[in-house]
Amino acid sequence: MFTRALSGNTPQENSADPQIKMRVQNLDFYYGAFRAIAGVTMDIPEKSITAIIGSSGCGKSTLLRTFNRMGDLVGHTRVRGSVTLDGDNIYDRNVDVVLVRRRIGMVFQRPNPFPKSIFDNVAYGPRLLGVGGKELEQIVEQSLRDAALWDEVKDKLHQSGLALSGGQQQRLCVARTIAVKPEVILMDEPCSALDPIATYKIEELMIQLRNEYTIVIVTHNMQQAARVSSLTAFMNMNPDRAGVLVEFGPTTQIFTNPAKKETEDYITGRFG
Amino acid sequence: MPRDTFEKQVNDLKKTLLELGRVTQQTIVEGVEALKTRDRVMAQSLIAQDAGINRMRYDIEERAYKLIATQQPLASDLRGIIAILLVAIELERIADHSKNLGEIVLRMGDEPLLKPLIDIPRMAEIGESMLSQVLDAFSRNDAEAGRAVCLRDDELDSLYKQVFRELMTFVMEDPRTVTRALNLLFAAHNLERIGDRITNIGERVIYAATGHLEELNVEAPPAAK
Repeated sequence: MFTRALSGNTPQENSADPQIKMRVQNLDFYYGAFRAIAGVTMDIPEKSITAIIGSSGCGKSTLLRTFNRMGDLVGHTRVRGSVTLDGDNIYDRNVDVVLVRRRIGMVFQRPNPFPKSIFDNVAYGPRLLGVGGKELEQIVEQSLRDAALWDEVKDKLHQSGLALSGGQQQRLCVARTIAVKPEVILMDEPCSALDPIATYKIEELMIQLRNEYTIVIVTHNMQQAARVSSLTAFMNMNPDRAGVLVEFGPTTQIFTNPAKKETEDYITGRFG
Repeated sequence: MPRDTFEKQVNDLKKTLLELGRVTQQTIVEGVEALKTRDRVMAQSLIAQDAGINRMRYDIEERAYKLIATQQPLASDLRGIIAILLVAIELERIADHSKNLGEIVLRMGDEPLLKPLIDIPRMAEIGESMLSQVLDAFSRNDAEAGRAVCLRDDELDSLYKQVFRELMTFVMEDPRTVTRALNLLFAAHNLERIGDRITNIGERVIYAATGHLEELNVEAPPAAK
């Protein structure tokens, strides 16, 4: 449950399958009367990277945002179906949305550090949770280390986060996300604004982080999905322009021998 | 189509591969013909052709690498290009086996044949026909046809065993025939290996068409004594 008393990293007892971190069932998402996502069902395994690919406008980012109720922030939206984390539906009425977003963090397409120092960027979340002093410093250092940024910024922690390069800013955002110890990290095109070297650094980081976190990444870069993820979901639009899940399976299979022609057509570039 | 240039490059590559296949097929015909007629000129021309065949293989390899590096093909495109790459290597090796027949002809000089050639030309005929079938299966992306061709490898294997037994009897009767026997055995061995390489091509046809890697014609290990 997402009450403050029950937060934590341990899977809940009522989780149907300890290997499955999140379970999406028959999920529909509406912007007003428009159904943007239709009938998505998928299981996201724990401590692994799941990639979502598909053409522009097919609902990948919308789907990703339903995983931590970011859709709630847009007016006139509605969800049908369920998204569970360790067996608990994050859309239950008594759920604390703030806690959902603490357990399920997010990194966005463009690096968006706060206009604050590097230290304060990472310390922001833990401070809100009442952490301070030595413990806060330790969390900041550890988060920056985990985000593979510490060595580059340790001597300038009090400089503005905005003074960093794009790739460093994105790793700072990852550090900020993991500082509150989420269980799941959602990444929405995290490398689309980065050069290849910065991209590889983020990918290496994802590969390291998957030992501790469950990661779901939306990407337009199919090679990136192929490089980092163990499972890949391919989404497409149905005739009503709603996003549907066409195929979901092991990444190797999706990229070498997809089961559906629609997937094959998309990944071989014969789409549309 | 959004990837016209890519498709054209893949189709051109496939055409070059089939051309290499056609040339390779011809080397089997010429190899056994040179052996039957003891035609040293033909044998020499066969040996001389090999460098050109190697160049064709490297050209295919280079173009396949370039496509992989620049186009990042996936799914059936990826399997198709990998198959082209591997089939080119097998074809070049088949041509090497044919070249070996030419070298045997030169090595035999004017020495009379140990026995009339019956099974060896039959082996070449089967090998050539298998190669023609497997290339056809490849061009049609037909996994079943690829699998069917490989079944014929057993015919080559049993003919090879037959040639081996027969030549051994000659050697046992008269050990002085050993060199002449070995020349023929070496010729049969090369033709038997051609069958194995065609089986490898059949496996690539299946992979390109279905995405499944399977090993065909696996011989059971010899029973423990």
